[in-house]
Amino acid sequence: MSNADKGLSVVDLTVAYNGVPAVRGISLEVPAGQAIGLIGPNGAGKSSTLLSIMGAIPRGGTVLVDGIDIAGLPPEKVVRKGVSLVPEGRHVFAELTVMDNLRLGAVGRRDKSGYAEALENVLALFPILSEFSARQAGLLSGGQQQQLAIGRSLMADPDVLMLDEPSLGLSPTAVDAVFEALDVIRGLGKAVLVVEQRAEFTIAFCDRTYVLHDGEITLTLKPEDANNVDVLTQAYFG
Amino acid sequence: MAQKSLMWRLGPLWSLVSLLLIVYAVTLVNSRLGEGIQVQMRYALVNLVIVVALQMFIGTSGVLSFGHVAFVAVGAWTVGLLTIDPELKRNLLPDMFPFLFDVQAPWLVAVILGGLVGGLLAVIVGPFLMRLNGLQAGIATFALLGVVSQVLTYWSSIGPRSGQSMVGIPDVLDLQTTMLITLVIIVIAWLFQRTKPARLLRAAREDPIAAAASGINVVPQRVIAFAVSGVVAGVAGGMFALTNRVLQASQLGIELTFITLAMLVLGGVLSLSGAIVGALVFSLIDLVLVQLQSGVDIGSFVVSIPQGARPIVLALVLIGMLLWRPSGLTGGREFVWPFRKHAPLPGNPVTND
Repeated sequence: MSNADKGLSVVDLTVAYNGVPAVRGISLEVPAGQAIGLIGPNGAGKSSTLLSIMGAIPRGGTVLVDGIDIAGLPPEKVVRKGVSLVPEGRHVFAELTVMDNLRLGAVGRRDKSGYAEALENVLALFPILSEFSARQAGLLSGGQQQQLAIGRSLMADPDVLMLDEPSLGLSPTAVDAVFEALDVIRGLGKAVLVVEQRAEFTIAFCDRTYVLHDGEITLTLKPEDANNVDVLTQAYFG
Repeated sequence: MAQKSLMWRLGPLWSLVSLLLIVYAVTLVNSRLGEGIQVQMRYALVNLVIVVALQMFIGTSGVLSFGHVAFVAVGAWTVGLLTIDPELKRNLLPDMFPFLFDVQAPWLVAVILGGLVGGLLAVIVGPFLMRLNGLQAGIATFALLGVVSQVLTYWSSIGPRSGQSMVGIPDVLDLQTTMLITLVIIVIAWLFQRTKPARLLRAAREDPIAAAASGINVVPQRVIAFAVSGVVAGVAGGMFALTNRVLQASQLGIELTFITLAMLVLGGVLSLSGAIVGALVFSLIDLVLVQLQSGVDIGSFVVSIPQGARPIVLALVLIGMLLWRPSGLTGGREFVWPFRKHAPLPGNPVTND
């Protein structure tokens, strides 16, 4: 497989709730080694896009991971195909320890023998998780929980890492730490798809950012558009 | 510092030790209070093991089960068939399959086999039932209980004729032995909590979205938990058979299901501590009410409650508990070392930094 085929490819994705369309035939590419942003107002269909790619909600259209169609697969099998999702609100397993959370992340690994190396890499990326490895995850701060949620997803050794609003509810310092880590992850050759509300920040960070409005992609932005007020206004208000 | 660290590491073991000590202490106290109380305590321990079985599945997976008493019933039946004297079986259970007349086992082996039969039934039905959630799972498991109850009531090839009882089960189980079996079961349940399937199920129960995103497929893990709890319920059935010494399918049905579920809810569904505390407290209240129904002499007065008031009082206690403390007496938490912090409830990080 050539490097160009690696990553996530979504073609004509549709999602509907009780017949009401939430995502209306969007197509997007998330190549390996790139971070792609997905921004838009509340109710635009951003989270539905991620959940449908994961197989958590029914969808139409085609989703290719490293060139392989993952149609009809449930979430646990999508993980084994190389896609991981960091859900909105972090969703760490609060009653379990940090280490148990990381162990659970490895359940979906395709290569079980790489567990020790993956753990070492995650703890190197997020040293705080090593320090608090025996602590219950619910006792961590919000920023630490977000690091844990990302670390847990990385334990599955995904080719495609998707994050749903990773900055939600975090202090500016914690947001910086999370995006610094995402930059490292992108540098490792992973395809990163980030859903965010912070438009300026996301556009500046990502290699390409799609604007989603009422279930449709209305704009594609580059990092240099981050400070363009007209573009940002158009992105959110049409 | 080193001492604190040691206590931290031994924290989970502390929860086990405290539970074993509680059961031991309660049994010890009751053993000094006369033969009638001792008998009640034996039944309380049998119920406690059933509640532990329920907690191992419901508490771990978050899936409702009204069917675990079916495993209790097949466990009880197995022990009955394996321990009644062969001659007695020929006379009292004449319609049985002939090979069952001479099948015999020592009582402890019979109890273990009773557990295995309970587990086997769970393994057979588990792959179908464990795909269901919520009320659907509750109804499906309730249907299992109905089927098992009908089979044991009417199929005289494996037991007494309809309307008759299985009698002649030997008197081999005293309070001390019942307690020892109970303690072993508590250790097994505590160890089960630490297995991979239990951890995966707790994670999926706590956060289905995150569990799915982590690649956890809950159905096989649920089947494992269903089977292991089925074994424990089967052992409880064997204990019931050796305690009651008379078996009728109607004793192992809806009423026992709801009483044991009430015990679990009272203590707290989410923890083994909750199962044990709930079973003991419920049994204690029940014991007091039984005594009050018979009348208790206090000086020159006789304190009593009307006949039939016992289930009403128990129901009121349960309703009050659900209103006052819906997560149960233990709050669904295990006992922890007194100086150790609890984790906040899911979704409530301490700060945002």
